[in-house]
Amino acid sequence: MIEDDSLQTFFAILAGVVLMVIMAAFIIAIVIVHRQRQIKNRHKIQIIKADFKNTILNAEKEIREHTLHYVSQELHDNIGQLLSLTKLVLNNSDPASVFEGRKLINQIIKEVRSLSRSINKDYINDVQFESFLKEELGKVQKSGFCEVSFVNEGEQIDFVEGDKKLVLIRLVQECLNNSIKHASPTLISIELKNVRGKLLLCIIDNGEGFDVTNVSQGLGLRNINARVEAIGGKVQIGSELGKGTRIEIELENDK
Amino acid sequence: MADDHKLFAAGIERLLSNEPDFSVEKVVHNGKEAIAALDEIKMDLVITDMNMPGLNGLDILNHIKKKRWKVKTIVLSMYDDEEIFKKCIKQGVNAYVLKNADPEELIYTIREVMEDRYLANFDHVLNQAEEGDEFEQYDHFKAKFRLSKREMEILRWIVKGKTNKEIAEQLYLSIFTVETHRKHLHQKLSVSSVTELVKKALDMGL
Repeated sequence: MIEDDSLQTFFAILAGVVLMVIMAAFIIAIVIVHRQRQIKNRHKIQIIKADFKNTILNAEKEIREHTLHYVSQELHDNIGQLLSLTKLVLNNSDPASVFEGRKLINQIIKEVRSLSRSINKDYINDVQFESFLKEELGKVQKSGFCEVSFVNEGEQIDFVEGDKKLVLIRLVQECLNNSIKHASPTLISIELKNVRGKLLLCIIDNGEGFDVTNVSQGLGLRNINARVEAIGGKVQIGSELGKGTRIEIELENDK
Repeated sequence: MADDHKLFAAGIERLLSNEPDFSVEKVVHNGKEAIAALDEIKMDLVITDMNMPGLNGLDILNHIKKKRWKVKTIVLSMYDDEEIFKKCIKQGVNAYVLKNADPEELIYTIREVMEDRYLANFDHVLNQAEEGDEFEQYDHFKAKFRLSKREMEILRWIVKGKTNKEIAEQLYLSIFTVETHRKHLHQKLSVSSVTELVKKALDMGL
């Protein structure tokens, strides 16, 4: 009887111990899983942060490349030609030609000055976003490529984060580039609306357009999408063959 | 005449209009307008820029070639790049002149093209834009007889006893062009024989 009792206590203790071990294992497992999840999350956040940083760096790099390209083109196609023309005009030494030559040299001085402004590294940081848009469109028009229009409604934009401006600037350059390279439009318009910290930017051309579902055009679009997402915005790309393209970017510019 | 740089186009137009036997029929600023103008007006010669928005110089050449239009073509370009030169030749351009060439070279080239005596050669193209005038010390001589850089160069070779053919090879010109220049030299220096010509040149210290 006593043996029976102690056997029973033994089993009870054994069961208790087993139960405790199971519970302990369970708790440990939960802790481990939780830790792992935490690590994974932290990792994810790091990746997102790195992605954002990458987006900014890429945008910076591409803006720089864009500027260099622009400068080289201006030197070659504009200032170089103006100099050749001056040489040509000054080949004659009559007063009218000399006068014309001086006018041309003045023009060259002006062009060089404006060019040096666009190389200045503070330009992108200091420029108002609205003036930047106007200047970019001005360059397109000056090249004689097509007509442009700029509509600006709402309040003046003050970017809370400079990074957002940087990425937006790059996005605009990219969209304009695409229109110029692929669409042969007769008109490119930019519409800007800034109401209560909410920014709406539309870049519209009336060129050839493309099939949005076509995969081969996907890379450029994905790039635009990724950039807008990185700065927490939304983008809508609409295009139809023969009718042109409309890119709408929406962005909260609150704290 | 097609060039998207409006000031430059206007400058060339003025330069060409100064020549009594040239007339500039139309100035356009892009490829599309150029082809439209070609369709509309009958012209002897097209002078086109290479780099223009939309259709560029090569596209214009290609279009002319496809339509088998009889018009002569000169590309007036900023690019001193042999690849581009070759592409133009392939599209059947008659001559290629750099924008920073001496203005008189463009005028020479137009005459050479119209009289079918232009030889396309890339070294010659570069030569036309060569900086620095090696005949600077003979400036008063040049000015007195209104000789051009090219004529000075040819005169120097004549003094050295080269034949027309040798000079043509040396300067990448056609033999007819050298003959034309020689005729001009005789006129400008008012001499009637080679001996007189050489004597005059030597007198001037060339």
